[in-house]
Amino acid sequence: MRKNPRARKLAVRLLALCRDGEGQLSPDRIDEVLAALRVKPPRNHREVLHYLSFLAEREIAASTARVVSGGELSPQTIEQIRSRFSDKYGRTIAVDSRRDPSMIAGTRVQVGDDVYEISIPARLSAIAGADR
Amino acid sequence: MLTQFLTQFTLAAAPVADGEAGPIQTIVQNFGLDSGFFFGQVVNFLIVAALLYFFAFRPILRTVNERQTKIEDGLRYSEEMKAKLADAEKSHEETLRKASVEAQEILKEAKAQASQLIETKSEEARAKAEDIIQRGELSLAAERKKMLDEVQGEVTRLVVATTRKVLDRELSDAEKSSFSDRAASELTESLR
Repeated sequence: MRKNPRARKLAVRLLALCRDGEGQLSPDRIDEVLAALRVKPPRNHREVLHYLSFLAEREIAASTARVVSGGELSPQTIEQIRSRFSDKYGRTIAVDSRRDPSMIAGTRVQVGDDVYEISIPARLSAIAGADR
Repeated sequence: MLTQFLTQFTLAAAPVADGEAGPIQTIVQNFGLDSGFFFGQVVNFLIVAALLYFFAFRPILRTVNERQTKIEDGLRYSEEMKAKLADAEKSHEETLRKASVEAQEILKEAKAQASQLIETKSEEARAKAEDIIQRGELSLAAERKKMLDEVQGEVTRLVVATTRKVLDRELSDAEKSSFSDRAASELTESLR
C-alpha cells in the first residue's frame, strides 16, 4: 500500500476521538466517528478508513489477551491472567478466552506479538526439536 | 789359395840338386803323370768349376738366399702377427673387461633405480590406499550418522505422535482443565 502521511495523520486523530474518558476504545464513539465520516467523507476516505482499521486492530490486539486452552479455565484463572498482564503492560488488558481441543491440555496467551505458552503440544514439539 | 797351391807345386817341381829328382818329379815319375795332360785336365776342371759356379751354384745360392729371406720375412711377419694378435687379444680382453665393468655398473645402477622406483611407487600406492580407506570410513560414518539421525527423528516423531494421542485419549476433561489452570498459573507467575 502506498504511504500517505496525511491520511495516516487523520486516522490517528480519528482513533483518538474513538477513545472514552478512560482512554479505551469505545464502540459507541467508534459508531459516532464512522457516522460522521459517512455524512462527510474526506477526500481520501478509503485510505483513512484503512489506516483507522489497521490502528484500531493493532490497539485492540495490544490490549487483548487471546487465551487458548486445552481444558476449561476457571474464572479465577482468567481473572488472574487479566490482572497480571495488565500489570505487566501498564494498561487494561481484556481477556478473550476460548478452548482448543487440539491443544489437549495447557494454555497459550497472546498479547500483540508476544506469545506465552505452556502446553503439551509445545512441550512435545520442544522435545522433538531438541532431539534433532 | 790357387796361388799358394802353384807356389808349393813350383817348389816341389824344382830340382833339389843336380842329377837328383825332387819329390814332385818323383811322384810324377812314379804315377806316370803327363804334365801337359794334367794341365789340360786342370784347365778343364777349372772351366767346368767356373761354369758350375756361375750357372748352377750362384743361382741356387741366390734362390736359397731369396727363399731364406722370404722365410725370415715370413717368420718376422709371423712374429709381428703373433705380437699384433697378442696385442689385439690383450686389447680385446681389456675392452671386454671394461665392458664387463661398465655393464656391472649399469646393472647395479639399474637395480638401484628399479629398487627406488619400486619403493616410491609402493609408497604412493600405500598413501592412495590409506586415503581411499580414510575417505571410505568418513563416508561410511557420515552415512551411518545420517541414517541414525533419520531413525532417531522418525522414532521421536512416532513417540511424540503416540504420546499426544495417548494423552488426548487418557486425560479426562477435568484433568485437562486442571492442567490448563496450572499452566496459566505458571505463565502468570513467570511474568513477575
